Amino acid sequence: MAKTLSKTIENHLFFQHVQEYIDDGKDVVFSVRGSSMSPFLKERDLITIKPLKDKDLKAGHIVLARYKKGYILHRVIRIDKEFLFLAGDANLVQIEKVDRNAVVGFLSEATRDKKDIPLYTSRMLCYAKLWYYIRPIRRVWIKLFIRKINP
Amino acid sequence: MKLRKELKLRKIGKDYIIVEPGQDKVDLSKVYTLNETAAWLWEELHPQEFSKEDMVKKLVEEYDVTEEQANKDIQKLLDIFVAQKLLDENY
Repeated sequence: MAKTLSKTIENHLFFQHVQEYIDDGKDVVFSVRGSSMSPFLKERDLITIKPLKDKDLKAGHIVLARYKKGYILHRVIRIDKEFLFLAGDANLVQIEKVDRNAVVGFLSEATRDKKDIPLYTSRMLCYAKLWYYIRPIRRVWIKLFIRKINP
Repeated sequence: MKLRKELKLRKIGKDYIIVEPGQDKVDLSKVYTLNETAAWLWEELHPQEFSKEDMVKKLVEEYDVTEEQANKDIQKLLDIFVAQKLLDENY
């Protein structure tokens, strides 16, 4: 007769803890919190973060990285020799520039209601890329939508 | 009885959680949380063998509580340990 309660731990504390296991070579599974990766990832989706090892990171991969004084779990938009440029799928403007060695792990799989969520199929990568490129349109859309409900 | 030796108590911020670090994978989607008293008791007990009486004795020694109340509280905690399979089956 045990209760399960949902518990949210402060972001950077939680991810510091996650990083310990990843640095130890272990995969970590946890629930998505927040909507910065919407619509591709939603709250309560179960995700697996794996250590990088020799993973060849590409645009489209979702990674966990140290950023400013915390951590972010966002998609790689662009890579150059030294840096990765990340963005949350739901974000309209912000792009985070991180050093290669700020990347802690990468998101290898996700499930929602016990079903696998396709993440890196060509179709999903295409959608994600498109979603990113229509940011300017999404910004206008949001403005219009907000204007509509606040006349 | 004994608590499963692979379980680890971790403090994250103000919270105490029990984590089961598997060989290759750690599942943090479902963890057990303990309050401060239970966490203290966990540290006192883990990883040795203990009885319910040991637990009651420790609680009474450390906290201002009657043996009767301690007995009730310890039983509640033990019920949770059993329900959540935190005890080693071999002990």
